[in-house]
Amino acid sequence: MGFTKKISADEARRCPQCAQPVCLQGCPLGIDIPGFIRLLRESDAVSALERIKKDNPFPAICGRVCPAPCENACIFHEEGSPIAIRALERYAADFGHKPNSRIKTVIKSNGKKVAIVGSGPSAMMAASFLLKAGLNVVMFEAANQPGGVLRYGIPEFRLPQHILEGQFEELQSQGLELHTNIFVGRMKSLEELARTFDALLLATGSSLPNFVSMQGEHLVGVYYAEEFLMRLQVLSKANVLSCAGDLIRGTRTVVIGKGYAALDAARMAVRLGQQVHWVFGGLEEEMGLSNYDLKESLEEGINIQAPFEALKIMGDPQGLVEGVQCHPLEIVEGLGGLSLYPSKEGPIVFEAQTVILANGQKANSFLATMTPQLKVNSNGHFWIDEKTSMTSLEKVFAVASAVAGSMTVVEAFAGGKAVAKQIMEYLK
Amino acid sequence: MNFKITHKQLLAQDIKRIDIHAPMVASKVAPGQFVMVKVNANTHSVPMSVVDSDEKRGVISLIVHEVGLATKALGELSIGQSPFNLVGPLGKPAVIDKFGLVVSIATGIGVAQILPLCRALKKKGNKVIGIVGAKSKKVLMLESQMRVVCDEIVITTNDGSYERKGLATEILKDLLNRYKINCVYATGSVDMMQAASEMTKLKGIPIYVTLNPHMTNGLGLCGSCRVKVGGCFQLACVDGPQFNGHEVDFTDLNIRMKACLPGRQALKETGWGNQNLLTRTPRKDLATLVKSLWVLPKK
Repeated sequence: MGFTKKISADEARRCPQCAQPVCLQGCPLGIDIPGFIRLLRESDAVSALERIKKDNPFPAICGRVCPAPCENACIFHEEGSPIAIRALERYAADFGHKPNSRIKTVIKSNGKKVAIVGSGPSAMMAASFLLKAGLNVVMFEAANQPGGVLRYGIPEFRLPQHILEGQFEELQSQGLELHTNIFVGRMKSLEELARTFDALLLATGSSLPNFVSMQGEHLVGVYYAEEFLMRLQVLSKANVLSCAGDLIRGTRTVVIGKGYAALDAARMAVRLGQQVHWVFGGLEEEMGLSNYDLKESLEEGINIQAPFEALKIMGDPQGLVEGVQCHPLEIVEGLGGLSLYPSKEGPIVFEAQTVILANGQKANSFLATMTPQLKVNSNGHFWIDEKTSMTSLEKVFAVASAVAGSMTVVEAFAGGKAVAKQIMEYLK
Repeated sequence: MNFKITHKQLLAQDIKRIDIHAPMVASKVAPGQFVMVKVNANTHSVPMSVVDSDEKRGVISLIVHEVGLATKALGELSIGQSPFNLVGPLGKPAVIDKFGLVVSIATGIGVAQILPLCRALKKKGNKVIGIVGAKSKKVLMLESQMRVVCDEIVITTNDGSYERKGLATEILKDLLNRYKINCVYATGSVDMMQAASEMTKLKGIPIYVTLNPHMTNGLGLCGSCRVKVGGCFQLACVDGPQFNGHEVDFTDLNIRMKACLPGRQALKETGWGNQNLLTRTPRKDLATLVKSLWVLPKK
């Protein structure tokens, strides 16, 4: 939930304004966190938003979907009540617009052209900084709407689509040229783009789910979290119910895995009227969620079953899912800290008609197979020179998930910011 | 971009041919590739093989089998209207080589997919024998086009209402015994492709099958169209849709195909589909469910 004026002011006053702010170390984007919180003490959202926008042009997105590493770094984190930095950022983003902020000063172009393949978080961030530097930026997106994971991987209730569209409108008003429905590699080759542009940025992400070799993974009713979310996300609000019937059967769902993809899929399933068990083979703290999100998921009615190890998915002769066999784990305190062992009790079966697997994503090696000159690592990600972020092809750069595998939205934002600087350096 | 429908024709029961003006696609498409069509904002995107393309006029032809929500909506569009969105060409171009004597076997809607392949094979200088299987004469389509493209053609119907009665695979078995065949192309039902793959494996003849699993957007992003080929998962949208038939795990494919059955039909056949969600009568609790899906309830 967003904060009201009073709550935000109260929360901002709670911030002790440490002499050596630890929250700064947590933020990959390097936002002046104590600075904008100080401005929010007097409810000066306009100046606070200006302060944030110096380092992060998309506070409305970060204020909603960031996993908030700054809150984990906050000195109050140990007590269990860190300053709600993310919510304060969202407040500033939602209420800090100047009345005539839509009118933008036109930045003088310096004639250099950069193409960005993909339109996810890292592409957006890179585009924003390159536009500010006066470059012409053209973005190619394969799907029919831009946003990448922000559009297709994050449900509406966590990041409303109009917010995302607003950010793209802002980028376009700054001079971004956006081409959707262009599948680079199939419809336009990389060489073709390299001929017409001065630099090329591959922000293709790592969207393919990690296929696990769990027994029963092929059964009807087993989805990967990314697949599940995307299939619901491409539907319109009007017919989500009639089509969700194709996707979800019965009344019980088991989610296996960790991270935000699992959380989003579980919350979506709850909202489709399912009873959801979330099976995780570790401690609750290891699920990769911020405290606030974990609390919210429990409030929503997700039953977190941890630590449980998922053994296999069971199906009936027709190939439909019947349940998930899990083994409870015991926490044993050993010499090297806590460790988990299978407990003596036998395996338990969670009844389920739908199973959602969230095992992270792997490299989408499509572009590399189409352009053999592009070198890839052993795990399928693009190889880059660490100093310049350039791939094995001259003037082709790669960034974020396309290079390092699955990451959080804020890390991708930070990657986009860094690569924009490197591209500007190269074009000098 | 505007994708205007320039021509529309009823081919058989529930099967229509639709020509769409899409110069970008028409100039680049190769046999075996497909496009993703989103008819309106309310429907899924559906993959459609490009059956024919005219580069000069910038027109592609699609064959629409009206089975689900999206395909029915596409069939209802009239000349001059245009679908909401169309992306393509997608998928790997099919393997077309000079083999010698080639048998192309297709059942049902598969004929639409095999026609461009036959045309390309013929152009390369192969001798093409076509086997077309249909349930009955009512649903048989593209017969004349196939007759033009193939050197020889055998048509079978399951109920014997036209030409021979029987299964397409029986004809293939017969042909494999009589002639020295160099390559087989198969498209259609999973059972047919499985049987054809097994037959050719015994004789050591290469076979290429075109698979049609469910796809969400055809861009290799989500993994909905994963199929087990050669022991590992491959995506039909970017690694296919054509695969080596000997490597495809058909039992797995059979299960994967069920994952895309439209709710009502599947409910009848397998009990798949959520009865509560499928009832069309307006219910109060459903309305609140729709709301809660998109907006968080205020606390």
